[in-house]
Amino acid sequence: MNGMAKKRIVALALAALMLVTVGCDAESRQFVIDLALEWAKEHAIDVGKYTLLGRSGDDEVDAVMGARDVVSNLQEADKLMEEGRAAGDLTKMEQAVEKRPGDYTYRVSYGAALLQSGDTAEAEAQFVAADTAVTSYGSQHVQDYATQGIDELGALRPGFERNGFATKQQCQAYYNRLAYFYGLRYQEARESYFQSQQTLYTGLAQGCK
Amino acid sequence: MEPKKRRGCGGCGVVVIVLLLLVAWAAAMRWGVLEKLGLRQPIAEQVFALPPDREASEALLGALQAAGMDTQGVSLHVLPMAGQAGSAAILTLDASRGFDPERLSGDGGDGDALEQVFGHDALQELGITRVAVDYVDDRGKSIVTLTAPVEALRQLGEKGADEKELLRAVMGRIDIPGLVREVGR
Repeated sequence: MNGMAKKRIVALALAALMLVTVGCDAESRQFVIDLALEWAKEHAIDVGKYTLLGRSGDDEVDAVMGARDVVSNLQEADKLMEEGRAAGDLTKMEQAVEKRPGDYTYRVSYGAALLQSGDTAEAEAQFVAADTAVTSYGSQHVQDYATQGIDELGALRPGFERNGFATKQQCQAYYNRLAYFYGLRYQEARESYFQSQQTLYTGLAQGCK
Repeated sequence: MEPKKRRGCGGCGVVVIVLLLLVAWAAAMRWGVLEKLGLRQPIAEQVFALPPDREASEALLGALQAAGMDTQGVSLHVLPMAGQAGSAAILTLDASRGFDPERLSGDGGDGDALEQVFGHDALQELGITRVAVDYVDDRGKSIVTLTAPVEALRQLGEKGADEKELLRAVMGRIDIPGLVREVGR
């Protein structure tokens, strides 16, 4: 790699951010390299604060500074969850949840797998933790959460219909959870289908023996 | 009987203790002791606790590839931010994983792909409110990490901001010795 190419690397890091405001031809690159040094001068206090305290005071910026660890953790957790889902390995799924406790997508899968295995109490604990996390994330996440829950619990239904529920608690937890997810969908979409499904599953939960 | 005269600095002990506590606090903050002890979640884990927006990540990376960019060593993650309406798009250019600026775009590395993909409209459509770029050298060390809100960059672009305004809007970290080493090779 020649010297010019190396210079481009650094330039690109800045250029990618600045593409919306400056051009990206060869001259701009050199300009951006100079900017990088200029930037360091301009942010001398911020850099000093970050070097001393490890924080700039701006949460978003500080989060981006630590994003590399987040991404690495995310990749490991994704791998664990993927393997866990494929093999029905509860331990791997639990490890993924521990790595990213705020990720409701993991908790839904883990909760569904626990419910299927008959560990109703732990399944419910996972769903409750996901409920708590997702409520602070905004309505789109609530809808995504409910949709995933309906899909994953729905996928268990043929098995339960074929083999039956092991306990009354498992039956109630399963149908109540489905009713809850349909209720979330109804709250947002206001479609009668979701409401009717909520009513249906609430009734099925009440009929568990 | 005259009271004994106090020798030395009576309040110095307190001052020293306060100073030591301050230094200990600063060190604990700097090296993330609370996070390492599990007493506090790292700020990045708090802000990026939500599931990643995989569709947006794939859309952006796909757009880069479609625009002719060689994405070897390039990763892109769109991470929604807790308590915020938008997401942060984090582009990592990792030389230790084969990123080569010579092969950055199909037409000889002018970065056209980046320019096409990282436009305001595309980012807005995907709900991206912050962009960040991380350059990692061939030893796996992060050299430059910079970030700015998309809206701030858009406004600066519209009013034809000067360099200084632009620089102020871009926050982050530049490893100057690393940068000099990288550029000087």
